[in-house]
Amino acid sequence: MEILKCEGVSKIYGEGDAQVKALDNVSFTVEKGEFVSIIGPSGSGKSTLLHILGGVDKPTAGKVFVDGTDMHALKEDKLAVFRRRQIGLVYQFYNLMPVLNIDENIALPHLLDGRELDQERLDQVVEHLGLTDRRKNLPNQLSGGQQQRVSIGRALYSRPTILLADEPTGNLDRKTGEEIIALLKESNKSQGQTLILITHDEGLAMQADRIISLEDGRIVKNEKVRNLV
Amino acid sequence: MNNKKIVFQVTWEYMKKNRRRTLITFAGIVVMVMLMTAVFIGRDTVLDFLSNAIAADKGGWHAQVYDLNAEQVDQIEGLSYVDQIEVSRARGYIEFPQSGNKDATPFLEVKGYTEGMFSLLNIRLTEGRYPENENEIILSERARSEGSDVKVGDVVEGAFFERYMHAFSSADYGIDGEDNGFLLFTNGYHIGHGETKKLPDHFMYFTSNQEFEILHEPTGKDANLTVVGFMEMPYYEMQGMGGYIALSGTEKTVVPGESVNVVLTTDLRAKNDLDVDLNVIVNSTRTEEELKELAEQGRSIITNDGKRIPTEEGRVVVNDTLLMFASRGTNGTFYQISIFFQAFFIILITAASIVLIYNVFSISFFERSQYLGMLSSVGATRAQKRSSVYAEVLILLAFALPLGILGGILVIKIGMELLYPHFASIISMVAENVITGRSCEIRYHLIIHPTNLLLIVVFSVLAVWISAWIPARRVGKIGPIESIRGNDEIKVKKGTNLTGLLRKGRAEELLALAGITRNARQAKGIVRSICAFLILTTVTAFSAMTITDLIEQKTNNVDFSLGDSYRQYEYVFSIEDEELYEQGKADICSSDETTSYSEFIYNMYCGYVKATDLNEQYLKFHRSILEKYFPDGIPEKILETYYGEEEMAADPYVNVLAVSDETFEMIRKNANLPEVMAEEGVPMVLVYDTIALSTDEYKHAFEGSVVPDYARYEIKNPIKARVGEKFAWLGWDPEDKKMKEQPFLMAGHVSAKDIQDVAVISDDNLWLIISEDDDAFMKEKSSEWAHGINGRSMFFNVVEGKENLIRRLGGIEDEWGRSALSSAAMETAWMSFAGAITKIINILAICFTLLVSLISFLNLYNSVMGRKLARQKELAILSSMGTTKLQRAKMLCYENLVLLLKSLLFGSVITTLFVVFLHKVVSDQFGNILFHMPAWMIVLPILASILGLTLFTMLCYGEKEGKSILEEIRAENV
Repeated sequence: MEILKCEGVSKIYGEGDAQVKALDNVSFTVEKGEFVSIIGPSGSGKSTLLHILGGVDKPTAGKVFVDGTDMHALKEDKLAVFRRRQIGLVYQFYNLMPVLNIDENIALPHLLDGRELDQERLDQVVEHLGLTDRRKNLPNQLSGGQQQRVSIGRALYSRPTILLADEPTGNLDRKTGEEIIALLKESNKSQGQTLILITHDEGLAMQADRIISLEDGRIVKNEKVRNLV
Repeated sequence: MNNKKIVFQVTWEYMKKNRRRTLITFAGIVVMVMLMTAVFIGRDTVLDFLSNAIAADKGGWHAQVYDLNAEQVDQIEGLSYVDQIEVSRARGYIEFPQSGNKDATPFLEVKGYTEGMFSLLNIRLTEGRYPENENEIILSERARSEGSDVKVGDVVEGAFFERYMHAFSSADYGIDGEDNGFLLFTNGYHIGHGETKKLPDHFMYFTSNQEFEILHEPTGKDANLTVVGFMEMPYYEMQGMGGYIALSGTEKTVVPGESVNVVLTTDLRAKNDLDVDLNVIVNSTRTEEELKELAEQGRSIITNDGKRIPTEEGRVVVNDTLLMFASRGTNGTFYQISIFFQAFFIILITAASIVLIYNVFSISFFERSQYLGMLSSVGATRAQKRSSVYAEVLILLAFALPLGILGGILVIKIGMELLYPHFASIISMVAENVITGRSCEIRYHLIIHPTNLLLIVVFSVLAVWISAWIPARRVGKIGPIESIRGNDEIKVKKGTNLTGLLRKGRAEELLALAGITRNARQAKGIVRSICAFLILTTVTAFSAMTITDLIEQKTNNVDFSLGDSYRQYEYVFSIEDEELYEQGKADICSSDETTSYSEFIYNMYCGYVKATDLNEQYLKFHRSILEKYFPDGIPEKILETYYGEEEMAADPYVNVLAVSDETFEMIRKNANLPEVMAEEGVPMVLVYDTIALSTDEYKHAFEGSVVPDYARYEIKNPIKARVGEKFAWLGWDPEDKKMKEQPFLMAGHVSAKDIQDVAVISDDNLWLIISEDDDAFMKEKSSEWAHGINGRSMFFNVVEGKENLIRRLGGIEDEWGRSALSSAAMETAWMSFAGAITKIINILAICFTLLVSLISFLNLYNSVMGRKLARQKELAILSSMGTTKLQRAKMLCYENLVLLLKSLLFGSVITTLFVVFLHKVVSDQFGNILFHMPAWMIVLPILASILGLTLFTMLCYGEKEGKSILEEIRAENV
């Protein structure tokens, strides 16, 4: 079942001579529960694509359908609600709320949706992330890896349809990075969540079901991993 | 390039890059300097303007001394601080055949003035030139306005004479018997039967009649006076005076044996006691016996060391209203007040500016933490990091100081231009010459003393340096990693557990409270700004109110003036002659030119009420005042005089005001007083609910006492008797030659508000109000009681452009030729000079409060904007997580609510401390003043801060169209 459809998406930054085409007519689809890696060299448009898929940036042209909804046709507030219910975003630099502790950061999107706290689920997520003894700490009291785990916890807690991760291991050492990817993969498998991962690490990318390669804002490859293998 | 240059350059670039914050800081410093300039230069300019206003009214002289011999003139000239001394000679009267009003003014009253006297007394020419010798005169325009055809070049000839009055006695008529009493004239001149006395200067014209005879005593000098010019009526010339004022030139040299008057000016910087020195010189020709007699008459002044100098009324006249602006004269209170509040306002401005600039630098430091961390990581020392803050201070001050000073001067200039007509009209209500339209031009000049400029620079630099010092220290201490991470400020505060909100799922409240409690430094900036706003506006308003209270309570000496309802009228008709009054009244009531009218009936008696009929507070405060004069114990004799059974000098002096029956009823209703059964022969009285006692009332009373600090007490609801009960009023009975008791029936106490439509009365005496019916009873009982100010006035307005009624009424004159019609504004000249000044001060205080509010608002805006910039990324993260606009607005509302509550809590505590401090200092300095703090003074700043915070939050957090969350997340906060 097709959960995400990207149709002729382009993104242009700047004007006139300073114009930069970050994405150029990108189209692809992703099936529900699929794990897709997007790879490419720096400046190829990976992050731009992910942010457009996540609804935090707008395409200059083209459409993005999530579960059949043209996401960028939604008004700002509806898009916000859509985003918090359907999409979980994991950033390379974590982007946690500095004034909230671990519990509060993880539960925030859920609370913003007007729902009551599911303490059991929170305990489960925190335990799963291995942060039980740090849950009252603020982000500035955590290591990078711990902060990224919180970021993943935040994305996982409200069970979004799609999980988007922008180089989540980019700032972490190899061991911590592997742990983070394992967490994401486990969620993908156990919850059936669609996972789209951006990375420039080919080793990591190979763990996905499918790899989309970008170069100069265009898809140059879009193939299943087993075919590649 | 040395390291200082690098820091300077980086700071400069940073300031350019972060233009908005730099501009706000710059504006804050400029406004601060402007305010300081406005206070320093404004105070001097306004004082100078007020001095000019007084000088424009009655001249720029500081003192006038009468009847001096040559030696005394030399002594005065010898006083080190006397700048200018001018001599005038009363040359006498001559017949003025050219008079156009021979029935009332058949003479010229000729005075000789030395050259400088003309300008000192504001003698303004309307035609011709000033006289140069004793044979040349200038004449008052009154002569021409009353029909004289005299012109420049005409000569008036005759012999000088003095006017005397002889009051006939029984003996003059060949009747046996004792002559009691005396003849009293409206200007206070009195003469006993059988006496012959010289008439004072400016006396009205009388012909001899059955009671007295007017005599002309030649001085032995002839006059051949050529008219060389005409002048506006001098301030001392009145309608009805027997002679038109004519001024000739005169010699400055005083010859032995002659008596002259002098007018002088002094060096205002000198602190000598002018009044004392002049009276000592005047007294130098008196014998011990004469001095003793003078002292017994009760008039004396007390020197700073407690010595008493007897004075003769009218011999030494000090221009108090002019000198009070320079801490001279007999009352230095106004000057002391102005100095005290100048200091207070400077402290306030400095405090406000320190809070603003400190906030800005704190925000700046937070914004620059990464760049500072970078500097630190490449080896910048503490001093180098600190110098980045100082560099910013230096750059800002270099531009802000001159601009602020120029701006301040401009503000004063524009302010004075705008307020000048208003000030002038206020002054004109109390300055006689302006009222009577004698073309007095009140000028103002910007007074810029170099010392003041220096003080402005010193205070500004000090304020900015103090503001930058703490952030600079913090900048110096910060390490590279902490700075680069930039969120070292965020901490979990003990006792702030938000789990409850998390469990309840209240995201917006959770975010708001977490933001405020865990990132306290940012939130503190806003709390500090609102606190500063609340404190500054409330304290400034309170200070202005205190100045008003101080001036009103310490310098106001107007006992009675007409109330609000009479101020709407343009004309007032009043004449003593009952027939003429009734005729005019009928004309006003029946004329179709009259649009509205109201009659004011009044009568005033003077007397006493027994102190024992007043509540306990009265005697307690009375005794406190006497104890201030005698700190070591009140002498037995004084105790006996004031509180003894035989003589109770503590009995308060009482004014009785009689009003029409309707007015009496109206006041009673306003005060919600119950009906009282009237009793035959017992007037029913309403009692004004406040009487004040102050040390000023006794300043000439005691020999050998100390000079106490000023103290004032207000006693509320002073009369003990309850509604329906009686108390005694004591009035002088001339037949029995003793005080006579008259019982009064208490109708209740009334407040200033209850009578405001009718009258404004001072609480320096006890006031009783009776009705027209009881007034008739009082008159019947003793003609002496009815003696005083009494009469009836018709206040009215007419159809615009219609003048027949005005012309008819204007033609009705009293026996002195005074018109029965006058401007109601004159009659309702309710404002004393102190009142005019307090009105001006109130205008200035409003301007000052607005400027202080501007600093505070800039500060608040800066804090809100700084906080928004610092959490831009957080807000973008929240958006990326799906926060809607409504949720964001809710979160901000919660935040603002908490910040406002915190600010109100701290603000009210600090404001209270300030107010208590001010109250204490002012009380210590100026005595026990009754302070007012109306509710609006608290409510308005609170409302303004709520409005300000909401508005700035909307402005700063309002989202731009097409803004990208991603850009916000990535954006730097510059």
